[in-house]
Amino acid sequence: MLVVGVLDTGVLVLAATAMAVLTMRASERLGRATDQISEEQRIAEVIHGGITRQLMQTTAALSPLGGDAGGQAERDAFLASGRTVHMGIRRFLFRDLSTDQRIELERMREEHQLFEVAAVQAMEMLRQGIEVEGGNTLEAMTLHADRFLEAVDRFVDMREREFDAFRTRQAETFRRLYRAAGAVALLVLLSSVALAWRLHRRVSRPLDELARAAERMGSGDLAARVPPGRDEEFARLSGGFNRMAENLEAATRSLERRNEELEEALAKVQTTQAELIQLEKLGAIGRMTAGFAHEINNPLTSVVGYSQLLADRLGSGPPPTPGEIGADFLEPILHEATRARHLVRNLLEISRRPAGAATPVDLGKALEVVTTLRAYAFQQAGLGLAVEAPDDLYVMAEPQMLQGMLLNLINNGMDAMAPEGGGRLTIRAGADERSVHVMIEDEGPGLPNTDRIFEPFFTTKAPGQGTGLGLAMVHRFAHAFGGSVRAENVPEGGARFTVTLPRAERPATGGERGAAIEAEPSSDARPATARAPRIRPPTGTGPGDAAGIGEAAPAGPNCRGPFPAAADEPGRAATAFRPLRVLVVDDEPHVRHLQQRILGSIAAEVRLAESVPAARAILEGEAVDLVVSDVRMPGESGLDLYRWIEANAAELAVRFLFVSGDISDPVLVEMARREPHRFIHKPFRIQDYLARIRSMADGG
Amino acid sequence: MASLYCGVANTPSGPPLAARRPVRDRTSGRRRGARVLLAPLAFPLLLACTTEPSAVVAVAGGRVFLEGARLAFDDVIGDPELGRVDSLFLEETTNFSTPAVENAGRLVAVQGMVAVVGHANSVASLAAAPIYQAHEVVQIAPTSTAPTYSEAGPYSFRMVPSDERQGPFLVRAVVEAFPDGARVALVYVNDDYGRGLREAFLAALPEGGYPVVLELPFAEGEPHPETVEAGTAALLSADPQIVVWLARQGLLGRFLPAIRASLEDVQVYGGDALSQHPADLAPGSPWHGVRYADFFDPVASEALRAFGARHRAEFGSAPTTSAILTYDAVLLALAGIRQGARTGPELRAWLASLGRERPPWQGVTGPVSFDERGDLQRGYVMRTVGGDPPS
Repeated sequence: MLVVGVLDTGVLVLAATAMAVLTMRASERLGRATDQISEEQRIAEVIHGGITRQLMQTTAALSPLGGDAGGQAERDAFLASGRTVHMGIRRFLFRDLSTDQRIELERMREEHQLFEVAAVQAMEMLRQGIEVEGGNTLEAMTLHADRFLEAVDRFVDMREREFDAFRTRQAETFRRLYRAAGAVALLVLLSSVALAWRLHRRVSRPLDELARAAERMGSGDLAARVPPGRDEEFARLSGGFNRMAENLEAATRSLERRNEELEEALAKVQTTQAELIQLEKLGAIGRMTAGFAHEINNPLTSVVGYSQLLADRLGSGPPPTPGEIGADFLEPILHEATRARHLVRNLLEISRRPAGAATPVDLGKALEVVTTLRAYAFQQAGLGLAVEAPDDLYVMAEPQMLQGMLLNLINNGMDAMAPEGGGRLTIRAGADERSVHVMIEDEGPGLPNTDRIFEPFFTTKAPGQGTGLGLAMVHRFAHAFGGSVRAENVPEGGARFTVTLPRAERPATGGERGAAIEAEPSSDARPATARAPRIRPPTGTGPGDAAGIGEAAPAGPNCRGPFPAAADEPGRAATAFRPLRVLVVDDEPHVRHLQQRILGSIAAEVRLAESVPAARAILEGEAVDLVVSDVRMPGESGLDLYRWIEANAAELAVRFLFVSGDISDPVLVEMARREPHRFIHKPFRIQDYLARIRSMADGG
Repeated sequence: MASLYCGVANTPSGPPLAARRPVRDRTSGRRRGARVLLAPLAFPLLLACTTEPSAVVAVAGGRVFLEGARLAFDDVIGDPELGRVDSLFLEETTNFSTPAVENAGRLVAVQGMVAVVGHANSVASLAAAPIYQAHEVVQIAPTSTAPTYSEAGPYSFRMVPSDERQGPFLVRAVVEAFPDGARVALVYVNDDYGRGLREAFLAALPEGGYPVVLELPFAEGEPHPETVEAGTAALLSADPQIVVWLARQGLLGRFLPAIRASLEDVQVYGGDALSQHPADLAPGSPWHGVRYADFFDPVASEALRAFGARHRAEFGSAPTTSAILTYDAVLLALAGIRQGARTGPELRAWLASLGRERPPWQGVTGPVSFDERGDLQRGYVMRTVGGDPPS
């Protein structure tokens, strides 16, 4: 189609160009002819003038009235005029003449030469006095003059006829050119109309159909197709478009299938991710379990122990007064039971699956839940945990997810500081108009790579110490709440995590599940739960612990009397001469005092120590018969004390009883397997406890 | 094997040049048709010869022209380097221009026409020259000396120098013969040849000492007896010491007896046209002692003498200057064709390059090269009818 159009246009352009060239050439020919005519007119005038002069000169020279008839001067003038005529004729010689014209020109030249010869000879004859009148010479002169003039006339006529013919041809040429120009113009007009119609039919229409199909396809109708074009170019174009549409349709269908598969995969991934997150949270909780078991066994030990003591007391001897029951038995039981419930509730709270929707959450309560859960672990690890957060600070979050975030960050800080055995984790919270910022800063070695720390499965911990999903979960939750989390190393050492969350208004009603966390009464043993402002000193030795180093705890009402060699039951009278000297080592005051009371029932002389160093100090100052020690304590553990005694007082090592809420240390596990009599687990029955004491006192 | 083919046609309305028959076979050496070529013709005859035609070289002129041309083509028959060349001989029996114009029109219409050697004299050559120019056919005029021929155009060459050289040459001869001055009578033919030579002679003649006591023009052709009588009377009346004859030899033959009878001491000097003077003069012929300018001495070189002998053997007479110049002109054109110039423009370029890009071509008359106007770059020699008198 385009080729046809181009050819049409090319033909028209060629025709117009040919017309222009022909016109130009015709004009040039006409111009040259005009120049030729002008020049030949000048030549003819020269010839005419020359021959006229020669005739006049001849007439004058031959006239009887002539002054110097046949003189040299007249002859020279005659020949000069003849030269003019001759040169004029020769100027015609090199012009574009026909053969006839050239022959006529030669005749003209010859006749002129013959005329000249006859004239000069006549002049010479006249000069010599020879009669020329009526002679051959004069006759020849007249004859050749006539012939010359006739030849000139014929030549001029021939030239004029030629110029007339040329003019006629040129006029005819111009008429043809005009007609041709009109025809070309008409042709151009018709061709333009035809081309426009053809362009419309073969270009505009197919293009319009193509555009409509493209629009339909653009609007999603992938079934849109273009009818095949008539011309090869548009047939190829429409074919290409249709193939493209078919390919696009197939690709779209394939893409939709892939999309569906991806959506399914995404749903699975999301489910798996949620499971992973939950698993991670449960894993974190699981990693807390060992400490938690020990922590909860302590109050259970107190509850069980004091309950049994109360029962024994109520079953033997004078009944205690209500004041004694309340102060000596119920108060420790209630305290420890409440403490255990608090721990369990917090554990349940944090283990709960998230509800999904973000609501205003009391940041302080969330912090309290997680710090309460981790306070004992920090204490056991010898680490400090401090929270600096104003009241009534609400953030938009899902409570369980928020607690999970905080728990992971606190665990992360503790894991970073634990290998060094010291340091403090400080949690600070602040807010501006729109956001709440929570900074968790530890004093550990810092982060090796702050850029990748939030990547899933990126961990610096030893294998088995973590999944690598904790901080990734923090990052995801923070962004899910419309916030962010940033990790950095502080110049003084350690790492700082800054969680920024959208600030929320305090809810009008207690609809927030986090607000349902029951505020537990503060415990003198758990200052970390103090509120408003919760500026907590590092956990460590409890300020309420009355037992100091070398403290000789009062034996209590049943602690007097001789040490029985074998006491079958609490309160049974001892038969030994001297009381059994027992060193009780435990960081839990209630458990320490419970043991003191139990041992008092067999009239043992009890020394209490709240830590291993305190125990060593007692042992270095006085002799004891038996050492009863907790396993997990802040700082050095019961195993450390046992090893010290093995090294420094080997005879006492056989009378070393471990009292433990849980045993996670492999050495102790192995020891418990080989020497189970050395261990009694919290919570224990008093008779079991005393049986072990007796067994130990008897040398194992 | 190359063969030469010829054909005969009457002009102007004879049969086309297609009827040809071999006139000479290189292998057998037999020659046929040559006598036909040289037979006196009462009407224009067109004779064509060819060697499997492609390029065509024509010769147009008088009988002596065709003699020289015949010998030239004989030289190249069977030349393997020449290629296929047609030859076309056209005899012109008059010195008038009209037949030359008509013949030129015919010749340029022949396909493959490269060059025409002709025509018979200056008038004819000059009249035909524009036709050759228009058709880009090279014209080599053997004897045309008219100065106007130099203006004919780039395709016009001639084997002789212009009368612009001959006029001063004659003047020098006159002055040498009459160093103290002399009365000069000038007789000329009133055509391009005579007029041009007259002007060149008068222009070179010294201002004083050589008065022109008579200038007498004549027309070409046989003069009327009255004219001869009047002319003779005028000549005798002028009493010149020198008669400078710038007309052809036929007219001089009419005047010489009277001149010798009445003007015993007068010397006759003439232009190159007198080289056609009658041969084999009887003792006491008035022609004896007539001096004329010629293009070369026919016996000056071994080559010329050998050519003369060959011509006499072939045609029974010594060659004229025109025959020798035509011989050279034909061989010159064929030499250009042999070197690859197979069209008119190519041959024109080749001829113009002689003496410039390539050395002059060596002909029997001597080295040939042309100036920018196509004139031969060579001088004249003075000759005397009947032999030069002892110095």
